[in-house]
Amino acid sequence: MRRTLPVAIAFTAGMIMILDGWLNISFINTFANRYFMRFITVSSTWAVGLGALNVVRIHVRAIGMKRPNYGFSYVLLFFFFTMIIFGVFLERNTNNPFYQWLLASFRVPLSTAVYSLNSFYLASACYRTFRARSLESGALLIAATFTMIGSVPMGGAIWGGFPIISDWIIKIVNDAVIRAFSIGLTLGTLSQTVRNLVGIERGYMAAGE
Amino acid sequence: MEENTIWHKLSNIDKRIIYVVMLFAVMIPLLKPLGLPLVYQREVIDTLAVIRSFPAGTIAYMGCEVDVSNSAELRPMMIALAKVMFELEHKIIIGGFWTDGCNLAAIWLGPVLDSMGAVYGEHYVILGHRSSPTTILDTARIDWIDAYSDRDINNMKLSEMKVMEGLAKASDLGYACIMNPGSPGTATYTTAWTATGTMSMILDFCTSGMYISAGANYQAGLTKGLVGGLNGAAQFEMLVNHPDKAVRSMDAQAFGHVAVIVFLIIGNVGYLNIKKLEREAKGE
Amino acid sequence: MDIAALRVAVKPFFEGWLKTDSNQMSLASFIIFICFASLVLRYWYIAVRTNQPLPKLRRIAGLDAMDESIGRATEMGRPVVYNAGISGFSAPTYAALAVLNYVARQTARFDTRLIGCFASAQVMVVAQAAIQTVYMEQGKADAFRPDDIRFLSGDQFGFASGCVGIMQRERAAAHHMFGSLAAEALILAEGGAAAGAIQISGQTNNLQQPFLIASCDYTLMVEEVYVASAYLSQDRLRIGMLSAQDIVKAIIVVVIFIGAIATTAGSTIVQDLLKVY
Repeated sequence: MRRTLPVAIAFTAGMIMILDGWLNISFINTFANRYFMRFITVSSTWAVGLGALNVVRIHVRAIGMKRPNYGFSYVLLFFFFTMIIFGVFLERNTNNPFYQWLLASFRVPLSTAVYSLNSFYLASACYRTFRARSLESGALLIAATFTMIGSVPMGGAIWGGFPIISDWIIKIVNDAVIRAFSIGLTLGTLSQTVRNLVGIERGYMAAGE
Repeated sequence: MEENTIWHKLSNIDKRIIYVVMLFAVMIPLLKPLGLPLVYQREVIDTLAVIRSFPAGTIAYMGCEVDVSNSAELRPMMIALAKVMFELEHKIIIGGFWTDGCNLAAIWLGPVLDSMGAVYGEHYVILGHRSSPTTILDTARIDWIDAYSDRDINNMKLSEMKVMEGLAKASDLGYACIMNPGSPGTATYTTAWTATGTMSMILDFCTSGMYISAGANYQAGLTKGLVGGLNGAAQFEMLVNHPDKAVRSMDAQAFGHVAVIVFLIIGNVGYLNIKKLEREAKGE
Repeated sequence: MDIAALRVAVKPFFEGWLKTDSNQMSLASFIIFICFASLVLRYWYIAVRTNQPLPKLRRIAGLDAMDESIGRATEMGRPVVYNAGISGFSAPTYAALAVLNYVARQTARFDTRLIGCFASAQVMVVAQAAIQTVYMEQGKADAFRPDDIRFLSGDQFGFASGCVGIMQRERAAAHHMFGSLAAEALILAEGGAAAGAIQISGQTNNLQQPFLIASCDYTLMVEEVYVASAYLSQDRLRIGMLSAQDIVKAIIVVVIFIGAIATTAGSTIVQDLLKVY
């Protein structure tokens, strides 16, 4: 029962959506679009609350047990509850000026700062990895160089051929490979989904092997 | 073979030196732009031509699938797009499914459009964030007002706004410009609208990371326009005669790329010379 | 061949029940789906009811290195950090959970600490239950630490910061990234590299693939993620399904090839046949 019931639920739900995607049968289409999709939205919203509880539990325990760096747990919990109080319970909810100020003054710069690390990490990763160890890695190196220099104005200013070669690599060579990957990915996704629906993959069920 | 030759040093430059060089390569052109000329891509020119082909009064949708992390590339596109849409007297319907998309649209586009003389509710509206894009876009195919529960970001009634006149369902839109940093993005809209035959005039404004897959969709005809990355944003700004942040940032991007290429060359020079020394040592 | 007449002849059979789309490829994609379903049933029968040999899976270096990375973590007395990507329940996440089951089994066997970092609360809840079950099956229920299975943040950069912080503070010896990753992929990979972890990535976003190839020790190429559970378990049923998948892929490749040749020669017969309904 512990293994059969989740598989039965997954199979039934999956078949409803598959049949809705292919077939023009009105009661299936209505059930899938009107009730099923809304049920999915509502049930996934509950999971947000579970995640919040997990965060609070871990950090309250860290404070209680005085784990290393537990001071940061105080900071996290302070901002966590502040955002919830202002965003959920007070006037105008997420349009509350203080909530908006918190978003604009903390979240925006922090997210932008972390994202901007990509430029530094990319430089160090490229320097470390793009070595002409073999024919293939040499070809990768040359393609990367042409693509980078051709995609900025300076490349066109140095030599008019750089943007043309860069464009060709991206639009012809790269596009063909991306399409091949997409076909393989789609079939892999289909196969994975079928394995989940019929219960061959049970990793999400906590039902064991 | 000794391991402290100049070639070993070139091949093993400390990461921190790379970070500092990158910092200066990007920061100096940002503070002192050089004004390097842009090369205009065909797809950006064609995208603007598509937008300009629609007459005054066309209802245009802007999908603000943005976040602060991708704002460097998408914000300039959104602002330039909003300006040209207003100048062409198109009605601007702004929506989005990323959590902060509509909030950021209100912060970035509201002041810009208001300064140009646009009136909220008459020339443009911000629909507000909704979760579950598939459900909303599917419902919008049949009844737009019902899809958004007749409420905008400020909880005002959409059905009472002048800008919403003529928009009963998605097929009433003239065109849709979707900011595309990932998912949900243009693919969400093409799946919901283009694949179902509802509306196919979807223009893709994507980040540089999405440019490759967006390019494949554009080539296949799934989307009817493509503006990609900071480069595309800069070109779009110049073409609509509103040069701004993207144009100013292009020099920094150019020098950043050149810095990476210089490090690649240095690393490979060091590596190849080390290999040569190893072969010579073995040959002895 | 008169395609228009064929369309008219075919339409009455399907128009009552088969949904159409604007590309007019409903029938072609439905036939591919039926082919796939038939092959799945065939290989299911072969795998379960017969002892007929199934095709061998080629070696995938990244998956072979999973045991090596867990062994390294065990010897060094440092944890394995596992992250299942940033998307909620989708096919890549299911593949990631299948691999997580394997990793949990190995860490339970060798008494290695496993830290799970999740960006989706739903996935975290399911993963926690799955790992606990695995630990109980291995007789190591006491070794399971619920605090090590963490929901970090729904925001991709909040998640990346949290995961990198965990790897650096806990000095992770192995970092496994499976599932679907976006712009934070490079931050996670470089963070893991800075912490000295051996890194194996298997994620399905082909746009992030170049970054991960540049910064990880082993990278599974896009759809190899979906092969992972079959490869690691060597289960006949799963391998059989992969065989079905590969045959359908071969059929699609042949159709593309013939279509490209025909279109180059000026004929639209393949396109017309694909769009017959």
